[in-house]
Amino acid sequence: MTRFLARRLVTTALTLLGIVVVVFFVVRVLPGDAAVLRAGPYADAERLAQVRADYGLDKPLYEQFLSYMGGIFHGDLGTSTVSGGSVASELFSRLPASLEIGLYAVLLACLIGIPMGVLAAAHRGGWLDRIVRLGVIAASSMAMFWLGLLLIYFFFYRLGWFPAPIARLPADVGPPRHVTGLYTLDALLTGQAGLAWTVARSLMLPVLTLTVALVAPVMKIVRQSMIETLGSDYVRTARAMGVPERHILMRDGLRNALLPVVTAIGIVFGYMLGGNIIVETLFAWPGIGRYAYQSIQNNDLEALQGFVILVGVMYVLLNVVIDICYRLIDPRISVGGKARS
Amino acid sequence: MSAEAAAVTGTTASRTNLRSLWGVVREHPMATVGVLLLVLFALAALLGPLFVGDPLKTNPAHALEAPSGHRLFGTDRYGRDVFTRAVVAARLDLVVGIVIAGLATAVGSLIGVAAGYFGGAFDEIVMRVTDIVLAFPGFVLALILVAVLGDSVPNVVVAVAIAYTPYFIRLTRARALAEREREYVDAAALAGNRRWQIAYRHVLPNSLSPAFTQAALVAGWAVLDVAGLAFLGIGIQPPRAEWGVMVAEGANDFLTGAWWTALFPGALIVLLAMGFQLIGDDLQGGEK
Repeated sequence: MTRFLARRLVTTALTLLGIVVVVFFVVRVLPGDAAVLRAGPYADAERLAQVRADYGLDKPLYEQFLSYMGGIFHGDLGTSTVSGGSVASELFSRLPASLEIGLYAVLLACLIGIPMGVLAAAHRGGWLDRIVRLGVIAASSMAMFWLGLLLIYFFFYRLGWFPAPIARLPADVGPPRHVTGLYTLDALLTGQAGLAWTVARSLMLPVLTLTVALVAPVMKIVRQSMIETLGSDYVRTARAMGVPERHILMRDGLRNALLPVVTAIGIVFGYMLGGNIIVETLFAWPGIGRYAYQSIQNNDLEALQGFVILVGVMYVLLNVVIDICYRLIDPRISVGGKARS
Repeated sequence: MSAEAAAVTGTTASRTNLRSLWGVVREHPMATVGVLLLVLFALAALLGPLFVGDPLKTNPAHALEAPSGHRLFGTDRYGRDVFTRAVVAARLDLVVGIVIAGLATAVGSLIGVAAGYFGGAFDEIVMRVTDIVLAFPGFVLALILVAVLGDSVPNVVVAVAIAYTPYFIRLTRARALAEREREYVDAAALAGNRRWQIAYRHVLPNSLSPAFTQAALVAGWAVLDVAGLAFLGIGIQPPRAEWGVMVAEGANDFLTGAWWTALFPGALIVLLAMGFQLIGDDLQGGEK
């Protein structure tokens, strides 16, 4: 385990370094003239020179890279060209809002996806299996922005069941006292059940939209791995010895199928980190995804680059945690191996 | 053989063909639906523009008209015909999905086979680079690439293809690693083939099948990614007739009651993606 951790630490450090190199390459080298991209197409020569000096774009490339990486090591993700504020602090102040949608969506996707996957595998080829397979295909073909619009149209505009898709709270309600930054949790912790319900109502539609996108990979992976487990030698032996099917399914099958579930959660977080841009934009949700959208609209490359680095780093660290969990569940598994994000 | 007899054998032969086709359809109902969907979209893409008018023609006098027999999908806020725009967009969305999947498959398999077959330092470098590319969620990577490269159809295609290439590298590399040990590779070497000839003439064709399966699924995801980026205002830009752009343009009107502006283009995106997914699912083994 120690050797595994040491090796994992080295590969993780390399990947994190790689992320910085890739983002540096994409925003500084790829555009040809990074100053033009920042100053906008209508800038004159004087403004361009100003931008070059401001961002150190007049220095040699290796020097730019070193100062860029030095900043990141100090938690400095640059300065927003629009607000003039620190990108890192702007991102971190928005992170809880994103996590609140994301965590509920991942949780809900697992609560629906894992039992459905298990049941489909147990009744393979039957009508339930067909429905689950169709569900996987339908959910992975779903255009999230369109689904979100449909949900807003029906449940807000037509039925009025949920509040307007504008931010985390209705305009006349103040946020709970800051504990974790997750409003539902904070409201409950400070004993404001009514507020928690108000918060939850604003959360439901965006969470539902994101859940549809996340549930497909969970169901698919759980179903596949459960089918493999149920076809394995030890399950056959257990059946031959007369162990009831229910026991096989819940005790032997599910426990062995848990490994791929851990993988599925890693993949699902990747979807979540990409999907939250669309969901947060649709619901005017003040998280990091909407921040990325706004920085694109404002041509604020520093802010966008900060977002991409933050997402990349979070995703890599999450995969490290998942690898370690994997290792704890099944010591035979070696390092590496990651599926589609 | 008389002409009559020939005609009889002819019909039996075609009847057997029909029957075996029916057998395939019954065995693969979901893939059949997928193929039918894609054929419909391909027909719309090929012939559609001949039958409808100009997708950019505005008509303020008829803005936001509800669907009717005359205007099947209604009109948007500029009075443009939503049906016309939806039909014209079929070509762009279909081609973009196929080209992205094709590019990622081609580039990914060429690199993957070389990495798997030659091994060594090249393999190590390729694997580290795919690790780094996979460290970004695909949609986020495509997003920043287009933001930097600039809004255009080719840039979106390249950006999304780059995000999917690592999957194909990994798939073909794993397969090439196994193929390398097979006897025909030794035989090819003994016959005096050079190493690159063995890699690309012998190992590559035998390592492609998992990549092709994945390509069908990727085409579906690519359609969603491109439309999603267009919805965010990145890549394909208004007033171009593209389904994601149409949903974005219609979003506000949709939420104030003009549901037809965004409902139809969005449904077409989902149906096209579903066509690819249904085929990909079947190729992946369906029930297995």
